[in-house]
Amino acid sequence: MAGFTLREHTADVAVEAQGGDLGATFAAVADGLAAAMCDDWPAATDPDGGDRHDLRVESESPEAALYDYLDQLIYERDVKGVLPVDNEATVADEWVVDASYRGVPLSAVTAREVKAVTYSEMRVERVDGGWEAYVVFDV
Amino acid sequence: MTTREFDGITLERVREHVWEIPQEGDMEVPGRVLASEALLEDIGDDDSLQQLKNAAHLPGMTKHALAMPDAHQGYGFPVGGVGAIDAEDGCISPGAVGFDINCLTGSSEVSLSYGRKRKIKNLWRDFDEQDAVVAAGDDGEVLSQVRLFTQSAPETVYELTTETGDTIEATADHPVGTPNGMVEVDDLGEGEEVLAHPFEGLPDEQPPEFDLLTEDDFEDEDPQIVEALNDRELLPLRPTDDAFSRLLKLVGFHTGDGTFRGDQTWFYGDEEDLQTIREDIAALGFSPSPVYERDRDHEIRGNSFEHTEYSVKSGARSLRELLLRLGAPDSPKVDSEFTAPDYLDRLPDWQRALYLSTFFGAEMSAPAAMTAKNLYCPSVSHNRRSDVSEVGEEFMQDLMRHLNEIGIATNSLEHVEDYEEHDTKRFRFGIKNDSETLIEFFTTVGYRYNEEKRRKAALAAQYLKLKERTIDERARIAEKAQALADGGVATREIKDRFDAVNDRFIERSIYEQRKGRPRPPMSFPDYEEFRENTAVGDDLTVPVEIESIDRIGKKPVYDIGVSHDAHNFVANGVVVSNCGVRMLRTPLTYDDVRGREEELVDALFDAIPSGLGGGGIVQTGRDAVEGALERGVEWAVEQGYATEDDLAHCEDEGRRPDAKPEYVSKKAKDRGMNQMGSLGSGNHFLEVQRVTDTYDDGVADAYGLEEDQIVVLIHCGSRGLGHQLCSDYVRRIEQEHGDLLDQLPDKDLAAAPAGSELAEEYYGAMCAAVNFAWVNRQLITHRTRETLAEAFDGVETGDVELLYDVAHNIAKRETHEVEGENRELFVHRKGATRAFPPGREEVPETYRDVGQPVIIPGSMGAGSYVLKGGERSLQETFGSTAHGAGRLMSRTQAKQEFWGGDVQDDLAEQEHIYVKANSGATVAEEAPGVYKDVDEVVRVSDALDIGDRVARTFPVCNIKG
Repeated sequence: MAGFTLREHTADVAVEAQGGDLGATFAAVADGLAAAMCDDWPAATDPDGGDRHDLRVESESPEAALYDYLDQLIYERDVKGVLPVDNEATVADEWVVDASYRGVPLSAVTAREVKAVTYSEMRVERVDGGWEAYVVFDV
Repeated sequence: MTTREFDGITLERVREHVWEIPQEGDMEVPGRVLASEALLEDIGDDDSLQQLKNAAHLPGMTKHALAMPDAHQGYGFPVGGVGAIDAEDGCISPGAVGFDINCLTGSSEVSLSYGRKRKIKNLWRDFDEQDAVVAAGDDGEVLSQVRLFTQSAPETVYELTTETGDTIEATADHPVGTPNGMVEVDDLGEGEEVLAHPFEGLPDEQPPEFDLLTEDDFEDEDPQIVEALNDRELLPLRPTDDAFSRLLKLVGFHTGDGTFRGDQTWFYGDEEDLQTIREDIAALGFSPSPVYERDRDHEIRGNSFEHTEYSVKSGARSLRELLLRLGAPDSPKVDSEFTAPDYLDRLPDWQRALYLSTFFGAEMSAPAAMTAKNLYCPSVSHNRRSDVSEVGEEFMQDLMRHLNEIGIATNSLEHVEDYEEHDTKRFRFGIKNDSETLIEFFTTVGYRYNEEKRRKAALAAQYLKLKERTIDERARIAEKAQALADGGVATREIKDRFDAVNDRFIERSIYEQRKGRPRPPMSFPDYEEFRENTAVGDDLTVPVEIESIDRIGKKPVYDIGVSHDAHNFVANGVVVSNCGVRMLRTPLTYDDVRGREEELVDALFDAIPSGLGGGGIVQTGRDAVEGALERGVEWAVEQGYATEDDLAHCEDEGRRPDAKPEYVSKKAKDRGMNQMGSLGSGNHFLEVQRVTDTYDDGVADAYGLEEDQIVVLIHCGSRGLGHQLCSDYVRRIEQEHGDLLDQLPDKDLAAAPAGSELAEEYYGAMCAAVNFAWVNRQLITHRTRETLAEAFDGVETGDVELLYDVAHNIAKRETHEVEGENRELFVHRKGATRAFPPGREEVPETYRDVGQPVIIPGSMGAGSYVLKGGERSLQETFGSTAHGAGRLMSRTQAKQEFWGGDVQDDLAEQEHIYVKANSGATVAEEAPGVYKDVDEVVRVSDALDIGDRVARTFPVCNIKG
């Protein structure tokens, strides 16, 4: 079962997430990123619910893949003006992340800015029953 | 000594408000925390101290890694951190010396310890275990640990050829050692001089793994000997041990100029060389004596003369026994039955050369002129008593055989003369004295423990190379002239074609059918003349002219960095979005504003985009982003968003000249496009404030501040563009300099070596982002001016003046005095503010006499400070102080403890501070209680005289994301 928790961090905000496989874990971190920015957003069925978008990143390690994935989400948020929620991701061999998200228009939500993903204290590791990740975001 | 400990990190109190984390492990420098006891409690409460320790590991960090009084945990560097990192280049060598080996092609050879050389591209497997030779000018040749190795994609490469025919392939920005310091290939031209390091060494091959000596070899000796050797980890001794290579040198030299007396091992030589021998003895764990000096009278065949004899001894019996077992002859040598050690046959060439070259340092004649343009062959003589002369002959044959196997031809062994009276036989052999063999000998084996002979060998090698190249060129001309003549071309025409030789040479080439190679021309310098006119450095470098520099296409290039002066890095992760603060002074007083706060906060909130997705003041195309990146506030002046006066009051006059927008990615520019002129969210804000106190009336007056005056503080940065740029470069550094990264305790300390292309690109990109940040704050200034002019009668936009704008997240190339020397440093201020005292030329002229304004924003309820750069800031903190109050409580915790609406109401009712934000959560996260006490931070800054109080302000209204 995938899920995330927002963790305390003096100046920033951290997300800890678990999932049955690497893709589910990555998507859970991305959901944590959305939660760090916004408390509540319209449902998919709402007229302001937004459309789904796909993205793909290729990287050289699991940590780099997670970094690049979250970096891409933050980039699309700013350029497309949407909050990426309801994240889904799969990670294929040699760290190709295929992901999608629902982009809720920023005009439809009250959101705070997360500025960037960081490598600080980042963990991506195998645990019993799946994977666990920890990411600190610059706020 | 007073100490404090937090989570296993001990701090020692240096003096009031100054605490030090002592240097340990791989830290380059100690850490320093500037804080009162109370602030230290806060700083010690999160990971700031560990992050400061981590930052102290960055190669090139100078003096101290510093934490300001407002320090708190960040990522990589702590926020409130200052680190100054050496920006100068050092050097290292294959053939031509002096390049900090950035960006050489893979076939470039690096000189390593013990006379080994290895192609740079093959250094990857164990670079961190290697010591490279650094030509350190007057400090001589120095060994320096290799700290990083990187490989990059193919880049345009140039081949630099010297007049001696040595070549080096390097990128255009690659610095090369010259008699006038390091110069980039791009700035060098034909006919200019570079420094060559003629000694190259032999290919680095792995020695075999076997036990050369074990405890069993000492079983007949006093057990204390085995114990002494075990204590020094010298048993079992294997050829792969570092100690073994040192021992080989000592054995070789001792065979020439050493004796055993009782338990003592003595070495004789020049004072300078004996110091080197002492260092090797000490490195093995034994205690060498000082260098002894005594005057001796000699009488040789009736001639008496005096000379000063220098010697060094070791009294350790265990060392003596070890050397004896490794083949050092027992005394008296002339009677001894020693040959070259058998084990040499099992060793790679470079190890055999250690034995040979040290013996030659003691025994072989130095290079010297035989005729004007030819050298004697360096030779070795050896005496043995007649009854053991056959073994002596065998020893000489051994030396010759080893040289031959390394690829150096020798003359045949001579039996020179017999000293009848002593009943000894004398043998001699020399290096074959054709130029090619001599060059090979001088550049690969040569002499060791004898600097005088090494210097002569370096000169001789260069002379012979120059001579051979001249002869080669003449042979080529002779052959061509002959071919042309055979083809029927008239002699006159042939003569005209070749300027480099005289007519007589052409005639002889055509008519006399040259046999063998031509001789050098009469004008070619004699050896003695060359020696007199060519300076050889203590580091064994020799100046040589550049013959040509050619572009030779694209090749992968490699970097290594060494811990010697070349360890210069511009760190990346410690610097992000160039956020900073500016303060505007207005002609309004608090009385003008009182009662209209809500109206004002609404007007400002409407005028200035904030929060996520709020857009920017300028909805703009790519040209505007490019203009802002390149020209900073000058662009804003052109566009009508700024005045000339604004330029004069901004740090760097609103434009970083080093900006290189081309190194800012498209992705980053995309994010900048719809955010130009926006506050963002988080801790960024715009605040209308009133001046409540002035502490230094003279300076306050110079800053145009007086009590009750209304000022506006703007705190924000380069927005998404700066963050994207940071992420892009962290990833590039990871990909291109990953090896360095692996050695740092935290990946977010990502650093690119100074002088590397990536570091230059990053610096150019970051400077461009600083320009963008200034424009961002300038656009907000523009809107603020319009809003105030609209809201208050009698206020014109021009009345709202910029007091100062300073970035507090930035790395800057600056010159600072370190240990009495001016050094160029990349000063990284991560959440720290530059605070230059009066007189520094970087301070805008308007403020140069009083010192740079420093703006310290506090939290919403606590007010802010204006300081001036303190007199001691240059000594203490590379001209820096704090940047704010410093966070105390996490955002998640803040949201649990505070509710945005309550915070807003309390502030308005109790403090008459009116706050408007997009998100109530932001207000909660930024509530006054989550920050450190800004008064205490500023008190410490003032007490340390790094940033002195000028004025204090208190919030009137505040807008945020």
